[in-house]
Amino acid sequence: MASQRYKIKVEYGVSATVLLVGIFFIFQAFTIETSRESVGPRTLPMILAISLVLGGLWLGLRAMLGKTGDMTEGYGFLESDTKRIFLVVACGALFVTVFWGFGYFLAVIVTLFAMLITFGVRNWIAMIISAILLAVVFQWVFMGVMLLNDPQGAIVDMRPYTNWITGAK
Amino acid sequence: MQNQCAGVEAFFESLGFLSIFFDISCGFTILFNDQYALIFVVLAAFVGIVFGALPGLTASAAIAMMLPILIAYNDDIGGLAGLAFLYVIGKSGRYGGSIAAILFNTPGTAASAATMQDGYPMTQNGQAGKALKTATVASAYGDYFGEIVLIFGAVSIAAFTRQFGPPENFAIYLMAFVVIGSVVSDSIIKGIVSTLFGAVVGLIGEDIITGQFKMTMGIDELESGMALVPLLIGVFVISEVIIQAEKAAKVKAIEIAQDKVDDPSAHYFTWPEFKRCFPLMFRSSIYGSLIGMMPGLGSSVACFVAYGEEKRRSKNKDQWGTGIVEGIAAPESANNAVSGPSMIPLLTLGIPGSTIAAVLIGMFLVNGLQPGPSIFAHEPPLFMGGQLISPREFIFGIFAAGLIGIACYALIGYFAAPYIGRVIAILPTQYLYPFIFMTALAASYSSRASIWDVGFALLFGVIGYAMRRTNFSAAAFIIAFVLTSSMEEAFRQSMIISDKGFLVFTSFEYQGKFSYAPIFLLIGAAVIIFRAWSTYRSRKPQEH
Repeated sequence: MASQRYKIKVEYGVSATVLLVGIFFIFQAFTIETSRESVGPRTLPMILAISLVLGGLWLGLRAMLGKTGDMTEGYGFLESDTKRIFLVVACGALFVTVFWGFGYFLAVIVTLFAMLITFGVRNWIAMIISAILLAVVFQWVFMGVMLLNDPQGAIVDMRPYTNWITGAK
Repeated sequence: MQNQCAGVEAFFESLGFLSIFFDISCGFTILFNDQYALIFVVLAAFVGIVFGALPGLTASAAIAMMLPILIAYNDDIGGLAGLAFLYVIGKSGRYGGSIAAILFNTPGTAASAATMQDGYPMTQNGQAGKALKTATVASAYGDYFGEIVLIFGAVSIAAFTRQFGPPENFAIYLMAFVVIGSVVSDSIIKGIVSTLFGAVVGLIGEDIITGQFKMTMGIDELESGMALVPLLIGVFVISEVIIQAEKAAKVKAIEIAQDKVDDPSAHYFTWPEFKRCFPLMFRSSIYGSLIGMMPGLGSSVACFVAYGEEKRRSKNKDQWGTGIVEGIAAPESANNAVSGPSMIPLLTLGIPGSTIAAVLIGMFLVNGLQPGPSIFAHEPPLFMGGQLISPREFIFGIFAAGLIGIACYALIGYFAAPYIGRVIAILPTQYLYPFIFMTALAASYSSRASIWDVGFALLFGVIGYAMRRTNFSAAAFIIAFVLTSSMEEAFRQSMIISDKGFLVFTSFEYQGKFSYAPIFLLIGAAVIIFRAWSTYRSRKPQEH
């Protein structure tokens, strides 16, 4: 019974999220300029966004009537480790930030280091070696071989120190 | 540098249905003339097995991470190599899932969930070798069956669907949305919401007719639309890394029971066992092929249908679940028989029946081919890998790659599956998943060399995680995302050309020809009503 109550609570949250997403896309659809045709660029986005809102309402109604079905294994966030979810997302954000400030090479080193800590690794030597090794391999594969753009860091330009890996001048 | 099969083509064309044999021989000629394609087929067989066997990771995750590299090197390696790689990885990934199911009691992919029921008890009984070899033989059997269905089925259906106009195409897309949305998830409404969400995200970017930017939220990077790679990586890879990070604190070393040394048959799938399982694998392959042809229904459904049906037919029902070869042969032949036929909706209607098929659309477009019935045309010729070939020959080259790929993964699996399993068992997950996470971020960046795409991958990683926790369907989301711009194009073309307004979709006549559009809409409506009715019936006894 408690699990059923929990499921209904989660389903209310799901319904609210779907509703908000639908409303967000309705607003977005209103930013599309209309054309003279009866069916223009705004038509389908608007239909889909309204359908999302209706879907959200339906989910809410289901939750209100208690017809959400049985709680299955793995459903919901009871077993979720919020701290670890946050840490993984933070590692991704760290990658984006360091990439912006210092470029690709350092972003790979710092992010892998942080991810290893997130996964509970505490062997510092192994962490440092694997982070540097992976950064060198990625720099060579993506920038050297695939010739991807290696943008200058906004704070420090690390490229003069990494160009030997890619062969760039 | 000439058409490989020119000259005798006209003669075989006159043979009608038999011309398929000529086409497939052409496919093999093209494949064997393309060294990169052959190498990539073997590589895909191996990579797919490894990714499938890694608990939590799937062929879709492997494809998501490999896709930017394949696109970047498409011109160097030739289109056939890239597409063959993705196609074969889908097959070997499905098979690879059985290794984890049998050895670790964890399905490597959802498609192997039913295999666990008899596979793991066999491992506990010291018969892991027999279980793995049974899975290998059954998977290859089902896959070859499905491939034959694909080759003969797709060509025949494409000849019929080639005549469809925009209203029929729109009706087909709408039907696919409804069918996929209603069958892909436990809850119809959640499946449909997943589809709607994918569709609305797929409409972000430049308008196909007016060229204006839609719903870009002022972000320049979204003017060309949301890229598929970060979306795939977010939904399939980053969400999985989050789940693995949660488990990191609870990771236990996996122990694999040793095979019985005093019983040589414990290592092999014997000839009498094969003969006993042959009819069962045949029936299971039929179930798998039929399920594979329906968009949205995949291997995870096929394996349970086959397992349940064969158990029901069996004279020794009580032995099922205790570790018998039939309990592995049925689900494995069914889940791999899905692979080929799941391409039929893509190649005949332009609708991807699975996530892998959805990704293949991107690779087809990169190579200048529009998935759909016109893909079986003889014109215009394409220049690929130093060869001038027709789209039809190219497709048969992919079919040939599939046939060779099955043999490759079967050979690798038959001889090396126990070793692959043992290596995976000792892999330190606390290093593996951070490495996968980094590869995912790098692959997201490399799709368009934009840091925004890394951000989108993270965003959809969190969304994908929440979708998994609340029973929404990631597959429906991705398929809808890929399909939606073609759907919009068909919708607006129909409205521009016709003077009947929305009635063009319900009319049996379009530009003086019979229109199948209302039939497709009725099929979509029938599927959703049937699903709603069966859900209602299944819940009813519980309420009393």
